[in-house]
Amino acid sequence: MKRNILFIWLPVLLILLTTACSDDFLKVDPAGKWENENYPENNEEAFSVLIGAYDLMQWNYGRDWNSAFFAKNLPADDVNAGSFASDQLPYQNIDDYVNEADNTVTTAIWEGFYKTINHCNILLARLEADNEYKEHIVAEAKAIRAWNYFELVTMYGDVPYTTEPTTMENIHRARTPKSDVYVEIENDLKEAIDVLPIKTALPANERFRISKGAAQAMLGKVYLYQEKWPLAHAVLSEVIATEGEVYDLEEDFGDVWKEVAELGSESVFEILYTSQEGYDWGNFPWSPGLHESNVHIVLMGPRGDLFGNVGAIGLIGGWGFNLPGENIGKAFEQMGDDGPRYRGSLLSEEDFLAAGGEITGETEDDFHDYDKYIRIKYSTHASESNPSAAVKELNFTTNWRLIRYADVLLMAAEAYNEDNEPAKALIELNKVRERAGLDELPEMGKDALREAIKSERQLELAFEGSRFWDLVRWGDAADVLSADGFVAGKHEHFPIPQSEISANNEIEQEDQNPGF
Amino acid sequence: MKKIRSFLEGDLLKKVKSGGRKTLTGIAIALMATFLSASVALAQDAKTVNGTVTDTQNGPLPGVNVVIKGTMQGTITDVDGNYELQASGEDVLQFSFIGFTTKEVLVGDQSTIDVTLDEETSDLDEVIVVGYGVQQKSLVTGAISSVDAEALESTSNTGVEQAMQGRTAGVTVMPTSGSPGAGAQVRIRGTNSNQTSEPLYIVDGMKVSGIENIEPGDIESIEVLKDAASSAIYGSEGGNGVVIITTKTGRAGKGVISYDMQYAIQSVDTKMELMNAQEYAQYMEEQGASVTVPSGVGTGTDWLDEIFESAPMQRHHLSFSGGGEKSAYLASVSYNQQDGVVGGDKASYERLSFRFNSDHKIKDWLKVGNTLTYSHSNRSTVGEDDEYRGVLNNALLIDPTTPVRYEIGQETSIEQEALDAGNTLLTDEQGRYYALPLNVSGEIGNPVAKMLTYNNKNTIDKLLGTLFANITPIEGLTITSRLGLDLTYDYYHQWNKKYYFSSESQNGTNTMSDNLDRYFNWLWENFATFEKRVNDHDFSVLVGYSAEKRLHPSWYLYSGPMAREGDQFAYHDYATSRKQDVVGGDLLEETMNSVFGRFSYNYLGRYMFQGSVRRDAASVFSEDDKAAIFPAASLGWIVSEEDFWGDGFIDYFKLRGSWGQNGSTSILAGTADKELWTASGLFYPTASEDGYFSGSQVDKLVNEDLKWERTEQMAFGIDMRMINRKVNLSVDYYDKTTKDLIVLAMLPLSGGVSVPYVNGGDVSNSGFEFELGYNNQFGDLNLSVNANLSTLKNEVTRLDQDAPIAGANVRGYNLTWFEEGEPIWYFNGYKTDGINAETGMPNVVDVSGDGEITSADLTKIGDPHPDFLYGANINVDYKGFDFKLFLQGSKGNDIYTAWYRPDRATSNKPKYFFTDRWTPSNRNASMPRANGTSEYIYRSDLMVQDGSYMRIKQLQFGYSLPENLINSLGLSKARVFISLDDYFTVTDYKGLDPEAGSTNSQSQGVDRGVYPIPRKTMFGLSVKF
Repeated sequence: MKRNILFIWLPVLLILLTTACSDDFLKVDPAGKWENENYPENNEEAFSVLIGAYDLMQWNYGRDWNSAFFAKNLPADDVNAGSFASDQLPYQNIDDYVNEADNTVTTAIWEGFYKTINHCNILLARLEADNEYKEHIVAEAKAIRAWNYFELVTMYGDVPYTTEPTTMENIHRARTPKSDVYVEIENDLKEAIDVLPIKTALPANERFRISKGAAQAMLGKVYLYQEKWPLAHAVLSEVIATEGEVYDLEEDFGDVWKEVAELGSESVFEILYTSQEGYDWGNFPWSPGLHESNVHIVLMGPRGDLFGNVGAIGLIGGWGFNLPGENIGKAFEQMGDDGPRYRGSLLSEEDFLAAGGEITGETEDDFHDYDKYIRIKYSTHASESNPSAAVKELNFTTNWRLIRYADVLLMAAEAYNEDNEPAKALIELNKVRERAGLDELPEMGKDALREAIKSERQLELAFEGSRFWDLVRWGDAADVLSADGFVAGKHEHFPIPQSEISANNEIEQEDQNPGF
Repeated sequence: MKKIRSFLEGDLLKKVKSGGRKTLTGIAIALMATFLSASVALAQDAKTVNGTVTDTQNGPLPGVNVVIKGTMQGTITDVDGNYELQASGEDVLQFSFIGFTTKEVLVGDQSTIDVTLDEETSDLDEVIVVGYGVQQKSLVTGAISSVDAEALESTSNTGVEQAMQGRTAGVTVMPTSGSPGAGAQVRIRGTNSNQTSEPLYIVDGMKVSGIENIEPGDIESIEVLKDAASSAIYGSEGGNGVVIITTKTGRAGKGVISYDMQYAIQSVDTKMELMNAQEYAQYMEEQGASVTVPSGVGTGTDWLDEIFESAPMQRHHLSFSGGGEKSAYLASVSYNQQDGVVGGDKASYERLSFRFNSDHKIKDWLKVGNTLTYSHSNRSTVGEDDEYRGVLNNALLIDPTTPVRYEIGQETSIEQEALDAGNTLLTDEQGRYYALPLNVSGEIGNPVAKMLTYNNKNTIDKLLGTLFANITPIEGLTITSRLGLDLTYDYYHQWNKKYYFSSESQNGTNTMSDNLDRYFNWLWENFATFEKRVNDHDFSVLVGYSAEKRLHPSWYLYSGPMAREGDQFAYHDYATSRKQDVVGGDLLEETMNSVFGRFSYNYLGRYMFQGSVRRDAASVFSEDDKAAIFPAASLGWIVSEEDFWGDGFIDYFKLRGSWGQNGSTSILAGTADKELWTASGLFYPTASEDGYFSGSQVDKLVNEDLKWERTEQMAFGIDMRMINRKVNLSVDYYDKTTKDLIVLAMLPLSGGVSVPYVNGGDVSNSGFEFELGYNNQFGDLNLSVNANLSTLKNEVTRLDQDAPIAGANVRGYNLTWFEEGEPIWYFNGYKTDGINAETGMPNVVDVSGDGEITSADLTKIGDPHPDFLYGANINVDYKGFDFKLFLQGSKGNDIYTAWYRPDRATSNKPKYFFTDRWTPSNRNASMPRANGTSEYIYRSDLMVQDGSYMRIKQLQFGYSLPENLINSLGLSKARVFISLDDYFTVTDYKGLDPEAGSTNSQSQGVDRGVYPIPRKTMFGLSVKF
């Protein structure tokens, strides 16, 4: 009898079982993520995708201890790695021209540029530009892609080029000749320029977005690097034509890198960071790309082991990287530039001590890479951090000015001069000199003017990642840098990362840049 | 017989013990006895005595020898177990039968004497728990090891994982740290995967994520399913082996109260020696670094001495158990408390746990029962296993010229400047400033002061319960339905002190944070077992179905500054600003359902076959590949049962062989085939710095082809009993391959993608396992010796991509690698060939042969995997005294000294760097000249040491009070013992501890400054009422 009851209940059990058997039970939607089919589906989401690209650049240029911005500076004569000889070896090695293909910095920034590019490729493939708002975004993405490819060809020479979103199938790509990549960069920028609004037409809060002027400046730079002089000054002159309305030089050179001039008239293309988080050591998100302040600034501030009382010049202690090289200090001296530009760029030891600073180094290691100058531009200015943040080191708002108006003027000057229009060149050059508090230069021969422009670029754009690549394109790198270990025919480019060669079926060891 | 409670206990247990062997042998002997007895004359005053002899299950025992003690008179029982003989009232009848214990009964005035004989215990008759059932050990065809739970009772381990170490062959237990409450990594037959290689843990039938809060004293048995055939019944989760833990329950009969306690003092014993102040100063001078050496510094500060302290630990376990005809129960409570030998109460652990297990026979066809345990644990930790910021690491690196603290007013200018700059320097209780390092910089700070900066507590509340019903509708059929629930709240609370050690190691604000992880898992399993015996054929069939769900929401809260420093202000309502607030949260969800079956067959208890299959369908796999099938088969043959097997010294000889497949869900999320967009963490500041724009990006590259990771294992084994079963030996060999290992793809960076998981390659593990035991009795002295040894060969046999995969990163370079033809996560660096007599620098081997030393010369310099592991224990008891020795060790594994910081050239170094260094007058040196930075030293095999060790885990003397004494106190057992645990270690390793490892499986053998395993001097007491 009991057993019969049991058999009646068994089917009930079986019914219960089957409920947990259905397919629905096995379908779990991932928390917080959109599936591709329904994203991005409106203007707002399209804008988010665009922001994703800026976020990648913010990460790549400021990535902790693998910064593309810092890497661009290191091989030049205006920047020494600094700190201690053994501190952050990948940085030290680039500075000393002993970097190899497994250098983590040149590997990381390669990845950073390509992540930004692939993101733009995805945006351009997935986003249907069915209205003006989205057309603007598409144009902007093209300009971002162009800029990142330009950085790549400048630093690495021939690089894999694609406009397709990456898949498992197409991920192995051979190096494309630099000249072909330039063609694509120019096309992207031209298409962008046609659509993009001018900077002042953007809402104030969005003026970090690449505007028509920014894309024109980029294109001018791209032409300049290819020595397409007439094209270069043609497009740069369009930017200069907006002087006074859209762009101008900041009055005070010392302000250019500070918050007061953030996205100001001199800013053409700028990567934003913020101090609003008030990070401390406990909540700082070290994970890649998650922090919003410029954590690289603290690395580039004066180190307590070497400099004391830096508060006297408005700085707070940092970790001692990016010390000025001897050449840049001497160049200022030779040019008699001891005005606002000098004081906004660097100080000699003498001037630093006179201002109340102290030299506290004791051991040899403390003085590593120290050429008796202390850097001011892009340093740890106390005013650049959140005043209420307890840990100022982690809260620098300092933005990277990747292109500023002074650079546009100097590029135009160079292009005019090379295109045999010295008078126009001199006009632009003297604007820069005037702001620096220097005398206007008189008319002179093309060669002399070329040298003057070069000197002006060296001083005006010191510590901004321009110097080394200028020396390379001018063919001056060997002359200036050989004493430091530069090897002509090798160090003009960074090596293709070793991990790229080992993982990419289309790039073999023999395809590596010469000398590596 | 070892008593095992299981959900199938009743019926299945009886079944597995049936078999005809004993009966046949018994009859032969009985016949002989009859022949003998016939020749003996009958005694005087005899009367007729008769009766029936039965076994414990009331079955008649034919052929039992019934003899009048001290004579040759006797008879044997007939086929129904009946006997009849002539005996007088003073005679004592002796009942004996092979396989059963002999019983003696005084005749007295009885004329009918019925006797029940107990079976003699042999370990071969023991039943062991296998997946979804139990099995008689002699019939097991797979490779299953049992850990003697009794041995766990008197150890000083608070966690079960550590207690398993060295107890059985084929199981590697690597403590993640010596700090209180730290877990251990368990590897069964090697490291299978480059992701998780942890075995599946089953506690009372419930899958659990960890066993760290199971009280060892509550454990009845631990079984380790090592081969694929045994673990394939767990399908996609059995690939790394299975550990089945069964907890105790009550037994019918008198109630029992038992209480165990242990108290121990822990201390540190290490071979690590660092340079003293004089040696340090000289080394630095030779290195070309100028350092400050205070006058009268002498040998300076011994920082290891400063951070090590003695610390107490204690453990209490109280249990009540009992049962009647229909119900049995066990209730227990336990408490563990341990302070750290580094950090004291800053690195401490305590756990309180309750258990209530019961079962009830409600109807004769229905039995229900439950297990329920609740545990509450608190763990505090100090920094370790970190080459930058850990307390241990800093104690190793800080210069010995720095004192611990300065008397008030005696601070140096270093402290004064730091104070002037507005920094917070830590002080001791008397207000004396802890010294800032005189000669080192960066993250390295005063470790004594650093300990003050840790204010954290990890509280875990865990409720684990199962409820089951066994239904027996017809003879031989048992249907089990079992629901398991695992609810865990894992709460991590901390607040941060203000402190300053250097610009890289400072905190200028008091902040607090909370991480809360809630886990809720349920598992519902339904399975039926059908047993049938036809003549000499035994069949058993299992079919089952299960469904499970795992939910893991998490929350993160952060705020500051605190109104004031201290525990009572560490709550977010009392933050003095909302500006630093951070919140976070996520949800992880997984589901799976499975069907499984097993068929077991044996003939004559001599030839065994078993086959099983499981199909798992899981949410973590891609849309088109939601399910997979895992088959297994095994065979066994007890050769010694054959007629041709003579009466040699081998009494028992069994051959086993098995093959099977199982899997690993590894670390999948179930979305590899979908392009997903995420906005997580993607912000870009607005120009006005008053907020952010939200960004989005594609999560990672789509990989539509991602398959399950699958482990295939072939295994063979021999079990032997020799010399009257006093010696037992098992030898196993296995060859295991994990196929389609799931790895993060190594794709060209020019793809610009977040890389997906791909099926990257194969890993093979193979090895021999030996278990040898000897048990004997010499009068009152019982001796048992057990030893085990496992060899291990690990190799990555296939890698689908050209590029090896990088693992652990040490100071910016990748140290461990996953590469074809090499052991998983081997060490990579520069190979050296002695010290150049002229330069004093290492001769770096030009591996690439290009005449230059470049990064192309980086090569394999070490292997963290041991060649073999071993364990042994000796138990001796004599009258009331007992002695236990337990040792364990490994041989042939390398350890990489990763704690050293060449980027901080003035940091301290091990003493042998000084004593063995090259100098112009000591050109034939084993260590290079003084140098603090060279990659060719600090990224070379000079940093690799032999990590082999042998550790006496336990040396214990116990005394059990005589029964007549304790009976008068109402006790049934009372034992006291003293024990030295982890006390003696033999090793050449010159670091803090050869054994303490890492929580990260890619960092096995990478010593970043580990928390040493303390040695313990222990007193224990164990009583039963």
